[in-house]
Amino acid sequence: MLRSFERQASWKYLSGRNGGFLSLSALFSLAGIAIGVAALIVASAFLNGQRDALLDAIQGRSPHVTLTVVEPPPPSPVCTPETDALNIALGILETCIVPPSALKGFTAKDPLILALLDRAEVKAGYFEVAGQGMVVLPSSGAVSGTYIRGLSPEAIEQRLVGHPAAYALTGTMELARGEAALGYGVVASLNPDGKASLALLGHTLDLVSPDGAITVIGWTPRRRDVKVNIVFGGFAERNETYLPLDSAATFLGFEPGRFNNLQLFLHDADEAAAFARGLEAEWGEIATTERSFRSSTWEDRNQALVSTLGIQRVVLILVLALIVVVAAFNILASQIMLVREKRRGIALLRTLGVGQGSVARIFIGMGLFLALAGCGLGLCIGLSVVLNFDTIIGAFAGVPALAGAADFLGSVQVTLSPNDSLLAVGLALAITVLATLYPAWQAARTEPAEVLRYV
Amino acid sequence: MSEPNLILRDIRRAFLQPDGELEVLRGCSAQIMPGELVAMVGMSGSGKSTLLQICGLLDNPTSGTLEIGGHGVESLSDRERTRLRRGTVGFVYQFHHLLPEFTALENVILPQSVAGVPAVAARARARMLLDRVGLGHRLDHRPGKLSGGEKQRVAVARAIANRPALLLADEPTGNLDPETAEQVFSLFVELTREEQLSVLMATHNEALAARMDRVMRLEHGRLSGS
Repeated sequence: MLRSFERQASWKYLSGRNGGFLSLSALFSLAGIAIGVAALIVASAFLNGQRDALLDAIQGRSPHVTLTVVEPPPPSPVCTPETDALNIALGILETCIVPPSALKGFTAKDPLILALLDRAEVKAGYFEVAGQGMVVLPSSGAVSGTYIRGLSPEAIEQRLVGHPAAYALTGTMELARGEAALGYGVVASLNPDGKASLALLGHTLDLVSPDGAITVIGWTPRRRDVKVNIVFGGFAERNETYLPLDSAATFLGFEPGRFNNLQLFLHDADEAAAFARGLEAEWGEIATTERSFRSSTWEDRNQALVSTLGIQRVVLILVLALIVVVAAFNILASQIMLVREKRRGIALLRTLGVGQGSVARIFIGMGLFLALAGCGLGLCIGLSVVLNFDTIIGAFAGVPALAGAADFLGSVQVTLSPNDSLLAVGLALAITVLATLYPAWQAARTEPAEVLRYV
Repeated sequence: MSEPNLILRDIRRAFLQPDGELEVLRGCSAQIMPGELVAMVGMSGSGKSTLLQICGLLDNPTSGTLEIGGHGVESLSDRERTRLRRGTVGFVYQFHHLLPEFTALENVILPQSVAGVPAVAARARARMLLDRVGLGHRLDHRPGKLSGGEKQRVAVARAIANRPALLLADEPTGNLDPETAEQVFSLFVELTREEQLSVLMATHNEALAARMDRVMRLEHGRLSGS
């Protein structure tokens, strides 16, 4: 805490010899901090807006939590030694019986599933069947691996209606039997130039499942012709192929009414990880040898994107914090100059009985004032820009040279984060006060006898 | 019988120079009683300012002991010396050394604020002292707007603001024209007598020195006439 004469001396040194409001160097230092803080707040609002827009797009379409049943391996044949002499003579030494395998997936009436859907956190749940597959473009023989999802009409609507990068041949986001929706990644693999395009819309492709059947001519993969009705973009979904639920169930070998995935939408997408963890802990105990469930969240599926957004944010904040660091260097340099200029005054203060600590506090007080005023001003500027973003962009739009930029910026979402604003202010305060420590220490070390001996 | 406000015993001070050690003070002993005005005369470079700085606890002697206001100072930390200086020592320099950012009034209030005097009392005493030195109409002027004599009068008022037991003056009129010097010196003597301060004043001016209670000479690093 500064004593009154320390505050007074700080203020006097800031005001300069002419007694103006603030000396020019103090004003520049203050402006530097204000610009730094304002830039931090505006940039973080931009980044938050961008992040929110992307995550909204993901959270709105991509299920928050996916529960997938883990099937037991197919049963091994049970063999007993052959007792029939003829068979033994023919070289058949044992008789094997393959026990029937359990039905794939689970039903919607499963008590565990019913209890889960009744939970308060769950907003909606969609059953689906999913499995690996391949897509073949017969005209070129191009092949692409894909993850096939059989979706109910509601789930298709949830995922694709209003999607900014989904295009339907018929204009509506619906799939009839024999139709498929292809992700951009699958389309790009099938195209000779390796780029996603809408050229495949309306084409008929071969869908191949590795889960085939043994026939008289041996094992053959299951295949089906599908017409590409929809092409869609996305992040984690770009390598997926959507089919109507019934078609996919038949194709992937599921009995009617059985599913292997449950897609859950929660009321709060940010709770997905906690919800999934809780579920795994709870269900881990009741898992049976017949089946168990594993869960994945939208964050798991989009981990690369989420972490990229996080890294981008941290890096940009660090880069912008450099503005504050530069402003702090400005304060450091001007205070070092001030200490040199005021050596005689400091020595005189020491002769008046001002202790070393007080001298240091006078200079730290100056930094503190500049930091507080700069942060306050920066906060006002930053908040004004963020809160009046549309108005400012509107004003830009009136200037022909800036109209393009205004169009672009007008489409950007800005989200003000109080935490980020506090972080910007705290960062600026800390950096600025740190910058005053060295000059303050230098001032405190002033030896009055040395200074006054030669004047 | 009262105790001396300043006692010097065999004070020595040497400075390291590139060509060896330079001993400026070679055993100075003296004492100043409360209310006594003592002049210290000597040639330039004789060590008057060095001795004043030692008396003002701004410098340490190489050897010898010193008592101010009854306190021995050898074993004091820097913090304790600062506290002792704050309460018992005042300085007037040849150059006024006023703080240019502060007005005349603020310059006189400052040492009182440092000593913890309440703001209202400090302001009242500063006004009274500046009135007393004839600057009641220049309270809010900064040093840059004052003449040399006025600045030195503010410096005198500032030096006695805390009623120090010991007032150290280093050529307080050395930078003024003779007429102004006479005015400032008369005021200086008058005020210090009014406030009953002990004064040690370094000067070249024999005529001014003769008007003090006692004159000491600093020659070849030693005080005589003490």
